[in-house]
Amino acid sequence: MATGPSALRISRHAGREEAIAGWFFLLPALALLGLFLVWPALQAVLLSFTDYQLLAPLPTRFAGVENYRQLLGDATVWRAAGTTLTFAALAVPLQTGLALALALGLNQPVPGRSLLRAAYFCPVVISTVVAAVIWSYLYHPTQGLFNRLLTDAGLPAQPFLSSPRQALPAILGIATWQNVGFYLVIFLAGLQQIAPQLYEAAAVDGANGWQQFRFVTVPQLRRTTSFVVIVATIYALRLFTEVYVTTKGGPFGATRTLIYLVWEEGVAFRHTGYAAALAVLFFLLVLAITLLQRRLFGGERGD
Amino acid sequence: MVAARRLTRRALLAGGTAAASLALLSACGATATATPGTRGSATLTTAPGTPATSPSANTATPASGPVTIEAWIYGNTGSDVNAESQQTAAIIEAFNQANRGRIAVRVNPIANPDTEYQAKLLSAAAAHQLPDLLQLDGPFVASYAYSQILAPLDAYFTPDDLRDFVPSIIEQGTWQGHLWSLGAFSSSMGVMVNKKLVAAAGLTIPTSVGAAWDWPTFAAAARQLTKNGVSGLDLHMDYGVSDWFTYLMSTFIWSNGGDLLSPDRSQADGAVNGPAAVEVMTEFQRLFKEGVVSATPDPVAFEKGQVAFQIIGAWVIEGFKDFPDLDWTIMPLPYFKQRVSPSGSYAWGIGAQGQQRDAAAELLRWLVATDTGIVPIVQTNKLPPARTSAYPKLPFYASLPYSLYAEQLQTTARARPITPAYPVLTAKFAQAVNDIALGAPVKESLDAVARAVDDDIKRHNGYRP
Repeated sequence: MATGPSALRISRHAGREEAIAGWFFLLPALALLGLFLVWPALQAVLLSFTDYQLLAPLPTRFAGVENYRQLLGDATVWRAAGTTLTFAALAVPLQTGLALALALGLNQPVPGRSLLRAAYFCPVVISTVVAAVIWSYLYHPTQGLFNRLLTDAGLPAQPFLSSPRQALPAILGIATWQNVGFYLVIFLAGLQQIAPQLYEAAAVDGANGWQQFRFVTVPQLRRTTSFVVIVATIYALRLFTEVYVTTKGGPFGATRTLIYLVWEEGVAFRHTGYAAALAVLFFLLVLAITLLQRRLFGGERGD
Repeated sequence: MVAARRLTRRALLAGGTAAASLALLSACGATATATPGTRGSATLTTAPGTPATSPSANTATPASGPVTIEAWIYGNTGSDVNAESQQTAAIIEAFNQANRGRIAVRVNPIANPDTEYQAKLLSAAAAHQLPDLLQLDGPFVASYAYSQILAPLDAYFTPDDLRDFVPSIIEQGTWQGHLWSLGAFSSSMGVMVNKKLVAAAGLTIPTSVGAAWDWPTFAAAARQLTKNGVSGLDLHMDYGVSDWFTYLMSTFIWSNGGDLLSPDRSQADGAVNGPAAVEVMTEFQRLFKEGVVSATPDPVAFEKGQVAFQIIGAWVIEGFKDFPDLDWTIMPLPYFKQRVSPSGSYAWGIGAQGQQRDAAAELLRWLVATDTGIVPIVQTNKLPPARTSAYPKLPFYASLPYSLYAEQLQTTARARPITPAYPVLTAKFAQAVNDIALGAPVKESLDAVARAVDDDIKRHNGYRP
């Protein structure tokens, strides 16, 4: 709003010069985005309509929608989609809720607050591969810490990653441990932006702690929550590294996610065209879910 | 294959939470060594006095100086594999010394486990940056040959040269009638026996292939010994879903008269999920269900004396030295219908894109020659030599346990299925083995392998050249 009239007041020539300068400054970013994001993405879309296979001495032919037809008829794909969506449906509420709860706690003047904040953020900095390796030791059925604690407490030992039923929840544990710190920091920033006067006014009006949370904190955090939920959803849908390190999609395919399938088909088996079609489909799925979430969180204050 | 396995074992040895900091460190180390560019910058040895020019600069003017070639070798962060990797580098350095002024080899140790090495190789091939000489895992030769990563070796070895190699090594390196790779060593598998436990049960251990137990005898003994916290059998399932599972189980499927592929290798359906394979896998699943063998074992259960038998390869023997209380011996593999043993390991191939194939072939000959290549590497890794003439020069191979590997290699060894579909086959089959060990339905699990492999074969028009 502010730039419009002021730009008009400057001579037309100067305005154009400014626009040129603007584009000039944008150029490096646009070039890099185009080269490393847009162009490969377009290539993936093109590849998905061919039968291209990496390093195969065969001519690449246009295959139309054959890849899409095949993958829609593939039970493995549907199962992986189900696994991925289940994981996201579990991960997003759990991680968002936990991060909010921790952020509320760490927003209070508790002793050692900055130390705790750093501690919760630590897992975010660790490489996912390292985290997954460490957790696979913790989860080990006979040697792991968790089963040691369980058996010491007189409870039966659990198979964790080697059980088709427990593997996905076990991976959820790894992902939650690693990601919550990141969402926590975002929530903390959101909490600190809420004007203290709002709480004072609420207190004057006789609101108790829960009411203050419900009618001040939650509405004030709406944009923050929307951001966290969208980011957490995208992260959850992209689940790969933890699976690759711990279960390789097993046991019985119980942890094979869509991205794992893309990796397996595209990288391990070199069925590049088919994997590209899978990736395109995955992109559309994530896009649809994200748009839906934006609608749900949207409203007068949405951007 | 071997490297990945050993790394896993090493890492698990550290055990429990104490390993956390260690894993963090070693992971950092792995990243640090892997980060430098793949070409040249990670060079371990350079021939003295060789100017640091790029290989392409040298190829333009071969007469003006030594020919520079690049060799990729498996380098790993696990210390026992490091020993093998360092010895390989030393053997190549000796080649550099012997060929001073003619050929200079730059060694590039790829500090990654198996799957990452393969991924790196494939991207290098796609980017036309393949090394002149490369170390590779034996069963993947057909896949690399099909993908035009390897150049044929036929011109560099006469039938007379090849007669000295154990047949399974030639088999491993041959596809479509051409030879694509040769290795200095192979591998074999045997049954490690805890002498105390087995003697207490009054069993006599056979020491030669001819006296090997049949499967019912072996399974009965394993069941009999499963008591008082002792497991009858260990299969190192802790290695995880990897080529080890294929190596292990394909042996017993062959022994039962089956195979992973049809005889003409054109399809998996009817073979990998055929009656012989289903029977073997059902038999093993029974042992898992009865608790005779663990699907999630302690990696050093055998070393700790908690296991009576362990079916495994020679690569674990060096680690036994850390367990002085372990009283062990070896016996030949039990068999279903016929005596069979597995084989194969890392081998060498010439990059198909290289300009200096003759120089690369000279280095390859050096690496698989008895005196310059095989004897020094086998003294380090103890794996069975690939040439008959090497055995007299490695005296420890004349007595147990190593003599058994030699005997098996010369009498009962087979190579894993030679097919460009091997990457799909081993990934899917190993997954199925793991699932079956954990209780998945046998036939359905193997059907899924057949479907994936046959789909891959179909996508490649039957892999006909």
